[in-house]
Amino acid sequence: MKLSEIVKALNLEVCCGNYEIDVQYGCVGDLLSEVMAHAKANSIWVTVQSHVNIVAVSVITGIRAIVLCNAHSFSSETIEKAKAEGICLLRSDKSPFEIVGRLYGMGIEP
Amino acid sequence: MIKADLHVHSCLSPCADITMVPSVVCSKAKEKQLDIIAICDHNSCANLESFTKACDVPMLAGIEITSQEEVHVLAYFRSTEAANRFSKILKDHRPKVEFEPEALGYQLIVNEKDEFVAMEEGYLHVAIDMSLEKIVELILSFDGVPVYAHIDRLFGVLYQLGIFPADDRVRMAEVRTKEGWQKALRSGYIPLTNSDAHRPDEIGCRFTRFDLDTLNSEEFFDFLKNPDPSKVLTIWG
Repeated sequence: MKLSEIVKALNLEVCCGNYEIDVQYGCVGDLLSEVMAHAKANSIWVTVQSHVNIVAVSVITGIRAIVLCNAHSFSSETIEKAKAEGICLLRSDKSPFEIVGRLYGMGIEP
Repeated sequence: MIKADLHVHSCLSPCADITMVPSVVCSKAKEKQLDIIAICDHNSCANLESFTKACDVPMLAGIEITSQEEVHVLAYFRSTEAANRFSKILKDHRPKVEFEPEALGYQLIVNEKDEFVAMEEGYLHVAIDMSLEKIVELILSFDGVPVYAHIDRLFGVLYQLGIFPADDRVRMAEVRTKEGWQKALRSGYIPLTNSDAHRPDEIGCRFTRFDLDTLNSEEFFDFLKNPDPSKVLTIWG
């Protein structure tokens, strides 16, 4: 599925990165060790964790986009790192529960 | 050789046993032939002074801080006074959470005679409103020594953040498992093995040996400020 469709449907704020890409799978979680162990490549990741290490975890696992929920903010360090690594960073005021539910409904696979 | 257990909770930590009072901790430390211990309660050091007064085992001033990312970091200080000043700042950044002690545990402040004199208000086992990086910076600005706590289990840096932060100013990492020990070494950290005792019988069940002659806690602190990896021996060597 096109990430741009998701951005539009869920009204996500684009903080950096290209969103004209495809994502197939989804994952959710704030413990980076868990995400590292379970996330699939070509995933969109829903979290409230904004530490700069989320970019490294995305690079390691092949996650292509991160949705930061509950109105949390990315630090400039995280955004710079994501730009350098080509990870798309997105934001929402909505809860992770709601974002994940909507993504699942749109056909993002577990 | 100095045998140290640098992560012991007192009855101030809500998750610790209420029997973790000065005389009990002190006699257990002697029984386990520990040369130095560190009391590290969650986000506060309100019991440090009483323990230091009551216990004739040398004691290092410590606190176990929970960062915004819910990573636990140990901080050691040159004096109780420095730890107290640091703790005051932590308190300003600690979200005020009302709690039920009967369900979550009592936060007991003791005097040097083991008498409970007050209860710390507001739940201590909460995340401080400061990032891990900021907390490390703050510890260093107080001339303290930051150490990652139990990196390889819940609330440890690797568990929470997957990998060690880049450009890290932390040099030591407490480990629980042999795997964690290897990860710390591979990433250039000096591993420590401590008990993280919450009950008297856990004190000294894990320890770190330091190849030093001195027993003076001031000089021991100086060593931690500038540690020589070849002189720090965990339970795995």
